[in-house]
Amino acid sequence: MSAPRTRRRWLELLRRTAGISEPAGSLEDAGLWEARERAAKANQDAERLGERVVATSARQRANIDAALERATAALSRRDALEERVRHVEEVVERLGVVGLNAGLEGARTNEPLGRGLTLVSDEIRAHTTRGIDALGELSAQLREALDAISELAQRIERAQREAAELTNDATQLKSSVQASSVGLADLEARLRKVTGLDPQTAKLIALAGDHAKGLLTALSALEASGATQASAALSPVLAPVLKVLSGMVSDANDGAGPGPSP
Amino acid sequence: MTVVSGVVLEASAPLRAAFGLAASDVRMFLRGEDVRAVKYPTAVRWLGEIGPLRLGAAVVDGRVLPCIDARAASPTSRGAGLVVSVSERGESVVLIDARVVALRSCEPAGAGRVVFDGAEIASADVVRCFDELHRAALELGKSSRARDRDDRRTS
Repeated sequence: MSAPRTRRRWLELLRRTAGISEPAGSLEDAGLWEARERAAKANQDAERLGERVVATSARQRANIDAALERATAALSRRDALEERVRHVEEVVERLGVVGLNAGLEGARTNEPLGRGLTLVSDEIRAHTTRGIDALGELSAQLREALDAISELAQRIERAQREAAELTNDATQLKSSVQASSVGLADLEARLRKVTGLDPQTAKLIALAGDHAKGLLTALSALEASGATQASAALSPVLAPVLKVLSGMVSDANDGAGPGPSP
Repeated sequence: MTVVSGVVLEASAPLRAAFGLAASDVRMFLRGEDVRAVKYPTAVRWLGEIGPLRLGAAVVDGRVLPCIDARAASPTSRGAGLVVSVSERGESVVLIDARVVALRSCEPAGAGRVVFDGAEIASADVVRCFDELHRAALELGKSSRARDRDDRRTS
């Protein structure tokens, strides 16, 4: 067999294998199976992620519930806290009155005892004034903090409602993914029936088809470049391939009746 | 010069009316010998108003004493009362919510005034306060009796 003729035979074989020169039913079937495999894989990922979303949203809801409980508990102590601050203010104010009375006693008493009492009174009153001022600030800050907690509680309540919606959505998503799995299983059964292939064979066909297309592209390029010695160089590698392909094509022709010979 | 120890008070409108002070007086001085103590009355009952004076009766240490509402425009205290008395008259009055500015020994400046923080302030005449209190109490009694008569006529 001359070199050009041999090259043509190889190329013809490859074209047929790659489904270029004749209807590519098996390759299309293999493509369908491949698409089904991708869909199944994506579905599995979606199912796994859906379960994670459901679990995470449940944990999130638990955290939100706990946060709301804490905020509500803090708010329920608002009146008690304000009452405590008022009580401390009253105590400090009464201490100031004690200081004032000491000073009044000093004002009625002769020097130097009276002077001493007045000084002590001034000191006590200065401290109580500062204490009352500080308590006023504390009270204002406490009110601000409690207002902030109140606002926080409102936001947590909104988050709680949204988390509940998210949990419902996640549960529905999980159901949808499960329904999709059932659909894919049905699709697999129908594909088996229609194509007569199993997923493994279809995968191998698709793989062989891809390789054949690649080989054909490379050989076509080689032929176009006019490299005469390529045939001799590739012959040891391609001869077994050719043999396998010849067998496959003749088997196919035997099974499908008369058709083009390789 | 002999200094006088006492209390400097914020001269609210009711106190100015009670002690007969000028409208320009923002502070007033009460001598230490006239001021007994600051007390929390266990009960206060307001009886009526004569001009800026709001009069009532307060129970202090188990005694019922006349009281004056000395609150300024923005009350901040909790109803403590300054018990003022003149021993020779045997009378006491409680100045409810009077604001004590300072306890000081002040130099007399003459004409019923003392020097406080470099400025002259009025030294309050407690006897005049009692006189004013009696006058107001009488007026309050008259207006109360007149009201009672009007009520009887109407009914």
